[in-house]
Amino acid sequence: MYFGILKRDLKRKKTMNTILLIFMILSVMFVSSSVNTMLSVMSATDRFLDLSGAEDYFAATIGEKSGEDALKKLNELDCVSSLKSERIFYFNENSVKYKGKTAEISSNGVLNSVDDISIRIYDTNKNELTKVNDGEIYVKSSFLEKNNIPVGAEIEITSGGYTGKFKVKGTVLDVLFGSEMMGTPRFIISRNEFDKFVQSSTDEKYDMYKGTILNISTDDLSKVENIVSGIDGIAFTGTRDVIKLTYIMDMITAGVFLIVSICLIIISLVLLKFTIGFTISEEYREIGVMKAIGIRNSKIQNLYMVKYLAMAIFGAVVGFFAGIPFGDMMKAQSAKNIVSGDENDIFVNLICSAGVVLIIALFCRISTRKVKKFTPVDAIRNGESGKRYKKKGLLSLSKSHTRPVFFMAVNDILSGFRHFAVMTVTFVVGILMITIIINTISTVQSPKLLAWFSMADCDVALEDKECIDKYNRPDGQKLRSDYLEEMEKTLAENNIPAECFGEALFKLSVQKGDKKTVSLAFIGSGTTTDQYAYIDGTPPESVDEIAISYITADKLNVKIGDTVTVKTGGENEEFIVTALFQCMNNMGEGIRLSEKLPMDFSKVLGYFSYQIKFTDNPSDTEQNERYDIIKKLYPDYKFRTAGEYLDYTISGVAGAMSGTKDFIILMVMIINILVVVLMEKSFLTKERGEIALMKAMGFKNHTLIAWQTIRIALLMAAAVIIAILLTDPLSQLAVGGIFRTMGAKYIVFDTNILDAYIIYPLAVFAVTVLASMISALGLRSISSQEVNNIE
Amino acid sequence: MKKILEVTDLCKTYVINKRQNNVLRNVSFSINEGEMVAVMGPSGSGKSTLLYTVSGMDRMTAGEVRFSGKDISKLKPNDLAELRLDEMGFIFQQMYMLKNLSVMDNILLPARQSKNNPMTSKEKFEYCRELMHKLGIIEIADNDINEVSGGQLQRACICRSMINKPKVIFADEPTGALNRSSSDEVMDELCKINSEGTTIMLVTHDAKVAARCTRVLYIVDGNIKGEYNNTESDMRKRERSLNNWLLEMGW
Repeated sequence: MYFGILKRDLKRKKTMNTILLIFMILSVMFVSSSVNTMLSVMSATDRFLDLSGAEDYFAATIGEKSGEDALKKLNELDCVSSLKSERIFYFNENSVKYKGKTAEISSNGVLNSVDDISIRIYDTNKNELTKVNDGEIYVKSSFLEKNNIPVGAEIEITSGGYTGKFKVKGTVLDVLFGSEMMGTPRFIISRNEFDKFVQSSTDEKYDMYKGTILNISTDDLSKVENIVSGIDGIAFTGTRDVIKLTYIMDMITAGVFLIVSICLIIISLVLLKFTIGFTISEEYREIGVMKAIGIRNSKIQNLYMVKYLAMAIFGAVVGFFAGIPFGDMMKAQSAKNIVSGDENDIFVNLICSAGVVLIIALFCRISTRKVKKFTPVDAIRNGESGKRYKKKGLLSLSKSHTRPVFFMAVNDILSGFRHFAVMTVTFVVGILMITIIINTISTVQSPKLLAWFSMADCDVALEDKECIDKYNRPDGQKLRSDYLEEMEKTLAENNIPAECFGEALFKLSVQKGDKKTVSLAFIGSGTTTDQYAYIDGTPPESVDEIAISYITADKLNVKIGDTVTVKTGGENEEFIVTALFQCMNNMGEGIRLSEKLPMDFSKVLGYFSYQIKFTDNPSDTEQNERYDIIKKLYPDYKFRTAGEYLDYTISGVAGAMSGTKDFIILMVMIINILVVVLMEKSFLTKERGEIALMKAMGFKNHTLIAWQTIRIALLMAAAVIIAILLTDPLSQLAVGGIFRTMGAKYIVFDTNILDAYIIYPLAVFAVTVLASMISALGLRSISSQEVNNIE
Repeated sequence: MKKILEVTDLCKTYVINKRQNNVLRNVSFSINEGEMVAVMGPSGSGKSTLLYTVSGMDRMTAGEVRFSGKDISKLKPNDLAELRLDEMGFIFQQMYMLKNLSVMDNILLPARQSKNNPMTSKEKFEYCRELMHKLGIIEIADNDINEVSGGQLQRACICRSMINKPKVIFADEPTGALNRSSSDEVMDELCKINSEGTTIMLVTHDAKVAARCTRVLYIVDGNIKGEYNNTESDMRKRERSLNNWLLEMGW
């Protein structure tokens, strides 16, 4: 009997069931593949760390002495059970040339000899890389992609006192420097070639190019951290967990798909509730008759359960199989920088599929409770049990000055909002997905984000790739300040009133009591500390004051007013903490020192671009004209607007998100089309009699189509407004976590009003309304004589 | 008297499962302005089909229907809809109304939709109230359609059919779902409307209802078998005479 009912019902409501099934399939497919991908990447990262022989703690030093010092001190520690070291040779951002042009690299890189490397690295075929021939080089895959360099091409690297030419042999999978978030690229060459760099750089001025990476196994991380933080010339430190965290950006696509799949499940459930409700109210006669002949509620509920459970199981089977290749595709993208094994755990897909079926079954059970409401009397009295209903029409046509169809559309929504809630929820969820992702992309590309990267507000960033060569000397601070002053003058002579400034970065040991850490230190040239953003306190004014990032403060248990000890160039100096700030550099760890504090710039870790801030608020046209002038004045520097500079700095985030944005917009449009077709079909069935009556009264087809379409358009417009209001709080919830992982605490999303709130919602609006209009064309087949079908 | 509806050789055929079903076969008749004509006949004889076809709600298979001189078979669907909205009124057996509108809004809706109705919105509203007042349902103006009785609802349907001051009102069993007293009240109203000049064509099974019309067409198997003119002024005599005629027709 159940099978017969199922078969009949499937035939009768083909479109409705098909759309519901599509949602079930998509839900299962996305949820199983995205969960599997995320779990796989997470476990693969662990596995990759183990496989590579990565120990508990990594540190990179600058300068030969620093490396030796670190090795000596760490060897003395009892808690260090294993200490591996490898020589590295740093190269600057402008050091690599391809076809005579400087290749794009987002930060300084390191060269390693394949024989020295302390961890295992792999080629793209996942074979351990143990040998590199002289004249050959293995590079990070994103370096080749970014610069369109094919394997086999020749690149030239100049660093220290040597220039070497290398044939790109392939790309390398490197657990330490391989993630998208890790800007530093590591290139692998032969020991002979590596030695050429070292031997040609014996002059002391090249000392900063030489470094050591330490791979430490310990059972007492804090002790090791304390020791390392006391060593001069530390460029980078990170625990195994921090390394793992750098792969978070590689999972961003899977994360977005997981959010999409959750939205799809919500939409499926809402649609399911509507469809069950609709089917049950349509079949009140059958239900009434079944009750009249003594069939129990639970038995009747089972009839409906069988149908939707069968659909859910079918959807889960299809979604399960479709999820496997889809998951593989996602994993290929997410785990491209990882040596992943056979993490494709079908069991995860199975559990996810079964989970979705279970949720649907539970929801079905709850939704079919409506069956209990119908009595045998309903079958006799055409669904009217004699009860008086609450007043439906909330508006009055006589008081309205609008066209009747518009009035009816508004009145229908207000009179029976529950019927339209499904669509509203779906539309809101869809628009939210779009607005959140657009605003997130806009935020990561917004000049406002400069403050989160410990930079002062500016209009232009000029990248001087020779900064390190020019200023890494004891008097570099003055040289840089002088140069920036000169730049201001040059700009003023060209009628550009502007301030010029820049940031120098150090790695300094910060201590409070027995707690120590190595933190990124920012010192401005040409700025004052009040030009930066703080989350609490007042900017450091004198040389013995300091601002500290809240993550560093938490680590050291420091609050405003406390005193910390900072090792500034060999000397321990005490500073009073006057402010807390947030930064997304160095996983949120940072300190800001007064620009007046004299520093030895020979120990500088790196520099941000020169920044230019126009002081006279020029118009957009004027700004563009100035950009051209600046480009002509400084042709050797890479010109970027503030937004472009940020985009370049964190291209991994923006790039990964932009890729999914178009997909999400397409998905939302498809979802809306499917939902509108389903709902419109049900409306045409439910309102068949009323449509016929209106036709009999003389309403034309196009008027009735307008009536149906206006309702959807109004709901869509309301959904856009609701979604806009919810965008910020939900962005904090959905995306804020990523920023918090990177070190930001107080996130203010940048709102791209044009794209997020106008263009894309309008595009979705247009597609949805068009789908509604096309679906409503179905009412043309309703004859005015069908007025007799009215119930 | 001027003819408002002229039907000539009207045919309507339905094809069901490749089998032809000739519901109306060469039906010809005419209705003059101001007449009140009842169509009677056994179930399945084609009464409702005739009503729907001559009112343009259904397309004819062959023949000609002239409404106010216009051949409705030649009108496009939109023109037909406009004709129904402005020049015709409809009353159905079931008191069909739009669920989300109040009784008054249901009545007012066709007026607000009509572009050819010369009245302003305010005048339409006043006219609606006047009609409701006349039919004794003004007190239910703001009520929901679920809150009123069948008789009141059918009177509301009459008001709705009248709102655009149509030339003809087509009524399909207007008293079919009502009890005797409600049925009498509705017929009283229709007769009053007719006496004020509106032509009425109605389908009924009830001889008592038909007796109040000026003319009765009797239809059997899609053909008009006979036509009866009510000349008696006394209602009882009129009913008796009509019943006798109907017996002759095989009723």
